[in-house]
Amino acid sequence: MKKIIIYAIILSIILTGCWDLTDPEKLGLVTLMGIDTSDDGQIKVLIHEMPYQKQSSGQQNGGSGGGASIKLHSAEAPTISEAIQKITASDFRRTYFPYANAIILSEELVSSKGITPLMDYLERTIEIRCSMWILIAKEGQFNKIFSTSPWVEPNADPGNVIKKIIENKTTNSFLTTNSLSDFFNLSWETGSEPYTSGIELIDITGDKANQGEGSNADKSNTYDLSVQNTAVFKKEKLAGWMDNEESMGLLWATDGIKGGIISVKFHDKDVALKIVKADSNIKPKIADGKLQIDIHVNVTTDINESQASADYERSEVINKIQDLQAREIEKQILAALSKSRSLNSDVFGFGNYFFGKYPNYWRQIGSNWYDYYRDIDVNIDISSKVNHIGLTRKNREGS
Amino acid sequence: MIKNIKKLLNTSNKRQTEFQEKDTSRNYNNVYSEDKLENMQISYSLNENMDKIKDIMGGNTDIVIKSITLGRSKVKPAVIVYIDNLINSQYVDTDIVRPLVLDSYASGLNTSDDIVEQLQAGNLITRGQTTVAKNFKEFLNGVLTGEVGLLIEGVNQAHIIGAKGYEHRTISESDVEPVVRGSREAFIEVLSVNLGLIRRRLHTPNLVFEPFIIGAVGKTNVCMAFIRGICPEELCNEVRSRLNRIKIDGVLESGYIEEFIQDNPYSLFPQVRNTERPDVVASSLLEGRAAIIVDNTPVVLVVPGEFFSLMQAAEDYYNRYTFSSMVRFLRYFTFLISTFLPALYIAITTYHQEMIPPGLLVSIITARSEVPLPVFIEAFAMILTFEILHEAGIRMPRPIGQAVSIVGALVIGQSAVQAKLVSPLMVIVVALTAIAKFCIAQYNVTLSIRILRPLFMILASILGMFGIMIGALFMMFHLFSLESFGKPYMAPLSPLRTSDLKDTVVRAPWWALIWRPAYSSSNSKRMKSGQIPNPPEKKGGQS
Repeated sequence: MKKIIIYAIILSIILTGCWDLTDPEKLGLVTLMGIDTSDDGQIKVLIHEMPYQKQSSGQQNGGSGGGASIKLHSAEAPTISEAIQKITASDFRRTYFPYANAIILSEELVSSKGITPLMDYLERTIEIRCSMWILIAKEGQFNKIFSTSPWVEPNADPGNVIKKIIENKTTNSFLTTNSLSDFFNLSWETGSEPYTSGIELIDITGDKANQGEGSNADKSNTYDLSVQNTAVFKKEKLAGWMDNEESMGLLWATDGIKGGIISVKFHDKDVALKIVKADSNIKPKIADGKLQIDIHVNVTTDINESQASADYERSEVINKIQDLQAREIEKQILAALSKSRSLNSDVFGFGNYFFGKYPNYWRQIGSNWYDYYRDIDVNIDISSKVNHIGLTRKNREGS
Repeated sequence: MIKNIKKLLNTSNKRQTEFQEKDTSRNYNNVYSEDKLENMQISYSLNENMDKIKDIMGGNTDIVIKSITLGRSKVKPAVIVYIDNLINSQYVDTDIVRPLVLDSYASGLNTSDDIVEQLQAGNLITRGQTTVAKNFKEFLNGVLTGEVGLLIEGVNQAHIIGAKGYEHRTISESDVEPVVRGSREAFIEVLSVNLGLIRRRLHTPNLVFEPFIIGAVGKTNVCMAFIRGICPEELCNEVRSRLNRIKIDGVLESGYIEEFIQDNPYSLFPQVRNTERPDVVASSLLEGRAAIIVDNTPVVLVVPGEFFSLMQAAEDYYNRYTFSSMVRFLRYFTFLISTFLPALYIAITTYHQEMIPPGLLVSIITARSEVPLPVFIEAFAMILTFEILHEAGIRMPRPIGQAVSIVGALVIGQSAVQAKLVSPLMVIVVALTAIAKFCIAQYNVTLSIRILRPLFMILASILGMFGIMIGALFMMFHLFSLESFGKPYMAPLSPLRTSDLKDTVVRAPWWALIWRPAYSSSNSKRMKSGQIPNPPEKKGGQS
């Protein structure tokens, strides 16, 4: 009897094993994923697979052009799953999604079909990681982003490049990019709307990429990938875009600023301040039956660049700068607020704060929240501080 | 031509058989059992005794039987019997033959009766170890262990005089347990020298070397060493009874004894600590353990050998405690690495690719893209290769050593990678695994690691991390249920004794190790507490 039990244990281990064994070289690591809508209304899925350099790469590379080792697959089908299945028919590796760095949705898709059908797949599937970034490609640019390769090195992996750009948030104050999980949360939560960054190709020479129609692989070096502006959603569809200034305002209010530059006009000259520390909180209030929001922002900056001539050793000057800084931030927040009101989308999540603090009251107003959203009193209180003035005390003009 | 050779062979064979036939005329068929010898009393007649000795030992070339006569008047014949290669001939000459034959005259002992009288009073022969044998068993035991037997006409007992002096290796540095700081001495094959090495470190009358003789044919001397008052009585009794239980024909190495006395004979883990170093034995005795020293073996057994004592190295206690603690951490880490690393590599690369950072995964894939073997076969091949090299390295004749290591390094390191049989990453994993093992001081433990490693690799290749977890759990169950001489194997971790933990994964400074390990000692205070050294100006403030 004892022997039988032992055999049973051993066999149950051995006979049930091995079924999901995959050697790593058989995986096609998806590094960037894109979803678009096709002309006949189907879903079009594009996939970038991570390039592997063979060890003896010398001879093989030359044949098929510089960006050959980045593999792009695409398929169209009514559902994402079917599209991916179609891709596997043309890919000798097993597509493997956990390493996808970002997913790019086309503006056409999110403004026509909305995000609901996509979201279900992204949430339900095991292999999709919710830590990947979600980006919206500007209108007409989706295919260009995938087909041209404006990457720094010919073999650089595009998903990774995008991820690195976004993770530079600490040196950039207008990136509103959300991860998939944050995006889901925003879209689910009561009284808030999702938003995320846009992505577009810009011509390094300054013109928009749209003008350079006949762009091919040789010219690709003059284009650069840029993550900027904010796509604002209402319910499940794209409501509109915020520019960088407004994006910054949104981030100030929602405690999203991790670093970067803010500039103020001092005597009509620009002074750039480097954000060292910033935090903010939002407090909802109901006073005399009127909805009210208090936004408090704490900010500490260093002077990074000054085109104005001023003696920063004097405390009046610093006070003045601090004051200007506060006003600038306030201006940005108000700009974001007015944009969100005009788009009729509560990206700040004010509704959520009221829902959290006054759940009973929310039950009365929740269904027609946007009637109230227009008329909320927003008080902005900014404690602004300039800490260091940098390595130089003298200014160029002053003496 | 061939016929001639055959003829030659035949004739030589014939000669051999003739020779053997001739030999059998000597009484080889008589086997002398212990009981038989014990019943053969030494008689008054020297001739009778001599006949018996010739009957028992006569066929040997190495036995020396030297006749002498005692006394100037009233002469008595006597015989000195010894084994040629076990005695020091100088001692026999100056301390036995000379006093009996020459010096006795000078001191005025003329008659043989006087000489025998003085001899029996113990005055004539000045060698230290002198005993008296009544029967042939005692007599031959003495002679065969390198003592000199003296038989005298008309005396029904033999004198056994110690004059041992056989060839042995000198004390040298330990090859298996080298240290940077600490005593360089290691045990050798001679029991008495080894006992001396321990005694030199512990000058206490309470240090006991209790003798045992194990082996019906080999009759190996075995000593149990312990310190009275520190080693608990139960442990001594347990060791004593386990040693007495052993019935075997011969003990050639302490490993024989180890397999007879360990608690769980089927376990993969050693439950007895082995050491070549007298300082380790001395410190173990001070911790209240017992040591078993076997003649002809430089390896001493220390019991109880629980897991944490097996992971110690002598030097842990000689170097500064901060560094020793760090090294201990490293050692436990290497234990884990060398047991689990190849298994983890297989599990993660074949089942859990999502656990690898993307950059690393790409480099794994790139490295593996031209390797034809699946990961786990690749891993097994490499581990097998390493085990072969390892075993060959031990068995090969020394002069060939360099050739083997060059071939090994080239085969494993370079050619296999260049031929794309294995990926460079695999080489790193196997090399790290192989090297990590050597951080563990106990060779015993590394042997169990070498068995566990492929087991875990099989589990990993079948079930991935889940398999490793199953294996690790079973290993834990086993480890925590083991005992070594009544002491829990994982003590002081389980049962938990927080006060003992300071000499396990870390090594507390000496002035903080006030207590001996709780399980192994009855007299557990090692030193006065509060001996932390203070700078002089602070001294006044204390008290």
